[in-house]
Amino acid sequence: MNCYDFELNISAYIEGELKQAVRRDFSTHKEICSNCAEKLEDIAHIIQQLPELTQKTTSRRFIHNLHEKIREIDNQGPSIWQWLLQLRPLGFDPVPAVGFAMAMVMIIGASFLLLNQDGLPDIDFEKLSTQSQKEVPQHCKPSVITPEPTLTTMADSDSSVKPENTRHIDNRIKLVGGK
Amino acid sequence: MSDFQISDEILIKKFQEGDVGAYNQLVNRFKDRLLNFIYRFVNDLDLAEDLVQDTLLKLYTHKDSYQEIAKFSTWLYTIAANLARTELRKKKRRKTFSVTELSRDDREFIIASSDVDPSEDLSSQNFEKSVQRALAELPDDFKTIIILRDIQELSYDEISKIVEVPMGTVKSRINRGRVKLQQLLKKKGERPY
Repeated sequence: MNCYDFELNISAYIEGELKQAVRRDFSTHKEICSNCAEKLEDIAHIIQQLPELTQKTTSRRFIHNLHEKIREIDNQGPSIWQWLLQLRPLGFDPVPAVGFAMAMVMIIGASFLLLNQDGLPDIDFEKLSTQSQKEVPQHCKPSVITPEPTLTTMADSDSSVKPENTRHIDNRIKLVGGK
Repeated sequence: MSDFQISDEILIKKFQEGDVGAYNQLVNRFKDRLLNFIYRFVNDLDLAEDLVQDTLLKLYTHKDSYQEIAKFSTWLYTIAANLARTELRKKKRRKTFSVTELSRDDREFIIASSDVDPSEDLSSQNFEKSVQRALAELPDDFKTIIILRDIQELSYDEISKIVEVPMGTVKSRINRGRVKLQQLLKKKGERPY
């Protein structure tokens, strides 16, 4: 055992918690190392003397002062927070009741916002694409394959769509194969 | 039946049910023990007494927070230790701001330190002052455990619950704390015998 290990085991040795083999090593080291032996002796004395330090006692006014403070607390009555916690709205405990109320407000608020939306806004894609073509200079134009106006898309060839309505329908998003 | 035959746990239960007499009994049982614990921690008797009052007031106002899963003394020591640690932090902060704000006890220590004769055998009073000074220099974690174990003589299990660290850590800290304490005393030329 070296000095470091000896130091780690001092308390366990004093309190008789070391295993036999470790205890033997510990004792051997104590015999050969005077520094460690001195350290052990000092610590054993400190442990012995610490409980014998002068016991302090509270002053004569201690109980009186304590009761004064308690009287002050009792006279103050419950704080606003304590008063709120004592409330029983409709017989519910306040904390779950507040939680429930907040959840309801959030659900109703979210439902109101969703129901008042008029669906997705109509977007004029044709107008948008022509605008972007005008704005982008020729040399910066991305290489996008645009269908010939004469060619018909799958949606255009849908038999359910009448030719006279095509111009009007073209402005909307069309579902492929939709009827 | 005498007071000391009734356990602390029964007394706190009675107090929770509204028996103020039980509270007074608990106060009488713990006031001096708590004072000694906190005094060794903050090193100022007046401040320690104030903190004991705060601890016992917390017991009065938060009596329902105690649940019988832990020993009553452990619960009370935990409150006291937290208050003492908070106070010590405040005290340290104040000292950082101004050295002129040294407490009365600190000034006493400064004067006493010049009178120490290392060759002289330590009287119990000198030893007490030296220990108090050395404890003040120990880090809070070691100090709390040394006070609880070696001065208050609590079990490792109780200390582990009060400081909320595993038993192995408590044992390791107590050993390191004792070694540090011995080194501090030795550095000042003071040996405990």
